[in-house]
Amino acid sequence: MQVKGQSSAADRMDVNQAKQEHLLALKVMRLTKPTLFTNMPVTCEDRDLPVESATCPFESQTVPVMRKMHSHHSPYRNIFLGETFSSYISVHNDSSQVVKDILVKADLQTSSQRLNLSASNSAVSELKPESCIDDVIHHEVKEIGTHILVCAVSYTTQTGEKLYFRKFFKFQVLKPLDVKTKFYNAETDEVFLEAQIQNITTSPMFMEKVSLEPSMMYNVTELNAVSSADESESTFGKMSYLQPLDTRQYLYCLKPKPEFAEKAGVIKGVTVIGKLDIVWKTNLGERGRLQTSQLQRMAPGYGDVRLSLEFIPDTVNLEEPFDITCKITNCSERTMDLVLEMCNTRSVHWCGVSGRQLGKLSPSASLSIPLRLLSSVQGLQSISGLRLTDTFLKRTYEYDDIAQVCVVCPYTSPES
Amino acid sequence: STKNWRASVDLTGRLLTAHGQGYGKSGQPTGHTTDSLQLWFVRLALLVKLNLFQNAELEFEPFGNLDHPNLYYEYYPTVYPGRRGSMVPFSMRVLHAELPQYLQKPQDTLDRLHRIKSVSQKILSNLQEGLAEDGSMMNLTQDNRLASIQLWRSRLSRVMYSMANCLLMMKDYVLAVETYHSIIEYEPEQSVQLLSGIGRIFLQIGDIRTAEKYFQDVEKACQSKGKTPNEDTSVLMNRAFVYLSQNNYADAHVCFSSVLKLDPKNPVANNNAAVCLLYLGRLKESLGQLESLVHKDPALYLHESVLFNLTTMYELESSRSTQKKQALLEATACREGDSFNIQCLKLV
Repeated sequence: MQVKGQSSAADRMDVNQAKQEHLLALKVMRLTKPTLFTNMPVTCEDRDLPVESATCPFESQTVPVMRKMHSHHSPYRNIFLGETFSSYISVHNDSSQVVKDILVKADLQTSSQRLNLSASNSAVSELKPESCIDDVIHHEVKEIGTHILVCAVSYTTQTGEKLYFRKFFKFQVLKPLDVKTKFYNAETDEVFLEAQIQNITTSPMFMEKVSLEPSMMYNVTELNAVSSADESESTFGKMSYLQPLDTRQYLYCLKPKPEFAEKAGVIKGVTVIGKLDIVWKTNLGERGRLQTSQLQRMAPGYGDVRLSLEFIPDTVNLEEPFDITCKITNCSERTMDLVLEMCNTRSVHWCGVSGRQLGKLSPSASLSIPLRLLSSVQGLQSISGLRLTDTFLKRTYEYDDIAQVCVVCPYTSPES
Repeated sequence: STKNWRASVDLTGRLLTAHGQGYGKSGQPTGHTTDSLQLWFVRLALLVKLNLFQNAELEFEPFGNLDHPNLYYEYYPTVYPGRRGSMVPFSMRVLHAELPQYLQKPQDTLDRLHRIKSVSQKILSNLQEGLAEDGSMMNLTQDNRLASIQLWRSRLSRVMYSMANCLLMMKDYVLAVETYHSIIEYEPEQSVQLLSGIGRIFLQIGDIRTAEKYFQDVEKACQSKGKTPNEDTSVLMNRAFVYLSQNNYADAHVCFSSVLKLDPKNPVANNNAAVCLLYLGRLKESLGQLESLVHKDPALYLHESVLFNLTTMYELESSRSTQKKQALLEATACREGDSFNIQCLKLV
């Protein structure tokens, strides 16, 4: 393996008040996970010329010539939000005298805050010549942009003089993922969230976990795995990782919790749905983690009276009556007295009494109505034709294309 | 033997001139012999080893796709009476196929490799059906037939390794892993190395769980061969890499040390153990270990990646790294040939 380090030379900004020679040298090296080196084998066969010479520079064909993994050097690897910044800090006594009371402090300065990263805050009593004080610090990066690692060393010489110096190391933190979200409202009270995640780093990423933490009001079902007998297989199949600039879509279904279901019909305006928690791994398990802010959804406007479906089958047989359950919610501020009328369409035929009174409905209340209907046309049919009339205001609300149902023919066609 | 590859290349140039094909003779009609072709192979292979890919490409050009009539035995009936087939060494064909990927044309490499693969498969099936390699009804003795089948089977897996390596270079990990799997079917004895290699690919992607599953398969394959897993260096190395992925440098170091107990000269384990020490905050120990390795056995350890690690750690250790790097430069100068990649010493 090769050590992957970024030595301090390129980024260093020395800030010393006086140009003073110090007895101690401070060296900082960023540590990233070592990568594996691949060599490029050239082979030859037994009867080829090179083998006859004493030492053949080429590998014999009988040895498996898979690219061997040792280590590979790529000089500067960026650091991304959510990853862990690790650094080796070494203070070396370059002089020939013993130095006392050495205190090493490491702080991380971002645009908004200053954090102390040192593992130990106590001073080392003495440091002999040619020895060093080593420390490895870790910090999970939580902000984008310029970060400055400030390392300060204070010490006392043999003559009792107290000296102090600082070094600054700048690095940039980049954004690793581009996340876009879309909401889809179903005919029931469910909300579907599609999250599009794009890898905008330069190396492949393994998405270990992408989950949605719902807000108080909702329960969430993840729709990103197909469950079979023993195990569940991801919907992404064999492509278990994201190449740079690849995008993936994750799907979640949110259902309002029973205690909130009543109110769901009358939710207006912006509601908080939850937040996405993303954990990924890159080379040799280098871990990154991000959480989005709370995702918000604009509730669709329902007008005064909302008609939604509590129950509807997916597939029905041709010309066979089937049952659905409608939920009528009063989204207005006043009490209503509703009358339900059912109108037949070309394909949908309602069974039952049309024009019946449903009774008074107070604001924010709802009632469930079972209805029966049948379809005379095959294929994907749209359910339409319900009319609600508020007798107080003499206003009629029309409901067409409420939902779709798939109508199939259960019989094989007779031989003609 | 002294790794003076550049000097070797010059030597091949002179020898080829003696054959009438040297410098300044491109574009002129030539006659080939098996010896001259072997010389060409050595020259071109050395150029590739020296990373002089464009030179190699230029020199390969006159050979076309290696199937010109004057590259076949039948073209020289007086020199090789009765012999049939191509005079081009198989390894040379593979080299010719692999070259484009180093020039950022990996698709060409895959095309050429596929061509070699389909020819090899046809030859192999001819042999298995009782025919000669070229499909004719010539009779071969049983021994010859078996030897030929073995040869072509190993050539087929060589080509498939090449394809998988190329796919890996293109970062098409899914296809590369599939190709390595198909090699296992042809060469089941190499399953331990192949499965380990596939597992390490998954480590590189970050899919630690799948890597661990592969490493478990490696242990099973080990057991089926009658070896206890704790005594197999591949198994221990795999475990060490998994510990690394879990940020457990201490246990990784223990694993690498166990490898060294079984194989004290293993350069990879030695190097990696030292690197673990660095990540554990033990720079001096790590440096000490690497330095003693280089001094004890320079022939084995004056390798690019070890030296790179050493120089990186010198830079970390003190301000006098330049002197130490120069000492390394002197050590390598006496031993290495003219092909050594000096950049690993980071002297600039």
